[in-house]
Amino acid sequence: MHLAAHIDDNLDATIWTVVHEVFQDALELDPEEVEFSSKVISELEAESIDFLDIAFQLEKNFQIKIPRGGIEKAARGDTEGEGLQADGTLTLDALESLRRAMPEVPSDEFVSGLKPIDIPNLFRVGTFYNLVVKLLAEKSSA
Amino acid sequence: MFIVHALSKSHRQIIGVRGAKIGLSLDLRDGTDPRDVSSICSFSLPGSAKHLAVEGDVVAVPLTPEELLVDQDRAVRMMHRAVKVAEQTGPKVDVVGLGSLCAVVGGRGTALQERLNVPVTTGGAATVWTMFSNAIQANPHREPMGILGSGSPVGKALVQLLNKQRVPLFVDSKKSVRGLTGEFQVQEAQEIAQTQRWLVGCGPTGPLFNEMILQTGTTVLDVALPHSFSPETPPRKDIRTFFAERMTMPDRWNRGLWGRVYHMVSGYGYHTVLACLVEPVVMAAYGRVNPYAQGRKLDPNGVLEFGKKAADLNFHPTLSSDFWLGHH
Repeated sequence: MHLAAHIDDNLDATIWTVVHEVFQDALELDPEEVEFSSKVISELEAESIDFLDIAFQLEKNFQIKIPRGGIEKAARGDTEGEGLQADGTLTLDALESLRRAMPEVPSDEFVSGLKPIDIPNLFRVGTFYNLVVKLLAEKSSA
Repeated sequence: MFIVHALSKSHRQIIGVRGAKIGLSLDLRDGTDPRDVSSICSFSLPGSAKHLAVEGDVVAVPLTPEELLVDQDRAVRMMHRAVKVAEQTGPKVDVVGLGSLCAVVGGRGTALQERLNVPVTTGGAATVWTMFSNAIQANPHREPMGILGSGSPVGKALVQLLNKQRVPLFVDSKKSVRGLTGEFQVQEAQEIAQTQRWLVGCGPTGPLFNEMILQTGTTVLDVALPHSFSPETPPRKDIRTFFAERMTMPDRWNRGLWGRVYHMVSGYGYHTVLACLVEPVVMAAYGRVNPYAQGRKLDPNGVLEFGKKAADLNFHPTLSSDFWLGHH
């Protein structure tokens, strides 16, 4: 779906347009390749260094500060033992926190056996959009 | 001038010693104070009828990789400070080159460029040229090669150049072969590493896979330090790993005592230099004002032009596997 052709009614058009442009530029993609639900690693082929670019451009455009590992921490921070089991996989509590923190990801992807290192594989473009919205809300209420 | 950063906390202490920053050298300061940005060494190349004389400073931002990544804005401010330090201690700065992660944070040089009116170049063209030349030299019979990290700007340019040389390629990014014709396949990085005998890592290969999965007789050309291979396992003697980004230096290249020390501790190799340092040197020697590489822009034609000009200055790609000295 082309951005110019349709913006989801639930999205803030101004924020989405910038997020869309940042992904398009950082990953050298055509506009129609970047969708809210696009998987950032497996579909858009982002690498770890690309995440740096994306975070930096979002910070610059929105005058926000994106904490490193912010999404993982949001999921694990308030759970016992940092949300990890002895084998390094996420606890059920942590999975539930993660599911709440990432509503844009289909819930059946939060499966038992998931490790922290696997979390970035869940990221959608919408994950970053939602993070920006959250940080902007925090900023305006501060 | 060329901006580098501390590779570790102990490296930062060495920077403190060199810069006579007592707090830094004793690990009492964390490197975030702009006053701790320190000049490390100077180098020069006499002019000739064909090119200008070049004088340069290597200036260190005393932030570790983790610290650079945590706050990219701060990293850019510290790099800006490094330019000021170079201007205070040496001649007017005409070109800024970026080393290691300094070339990655802040939009790959673009944020620093916004603050400066001199060109900022990331070293990407020099990196591609050296990796390309070394790949062709190491694999003269054009056997199939696996390119890992092929979706990066460096990877894409390298794929284009090798593709033009008709080297059959296995790449881990479909973006890297867009618009190309010829022999190539897109596979997962792990699969490429397991099946190909020639591997080129356009990013550190260590974090991508464990070297135990490589076939006997595999040759790895790594843009980073081959030491990035799982340090906890004993090195394999049945595979070959090379620094893919080193160049030999012209006899007239003057780097002084501290320059020699810097070569040893930073992974340049005593007898070699990392290509990214050569990129601003070539620009300054020929008065070029357009960066060879900045942001994601990396034109293969610019890479070839860089290679020709670097060769004219007597900087040549070399295959090296020795960390300290840079020997073959």
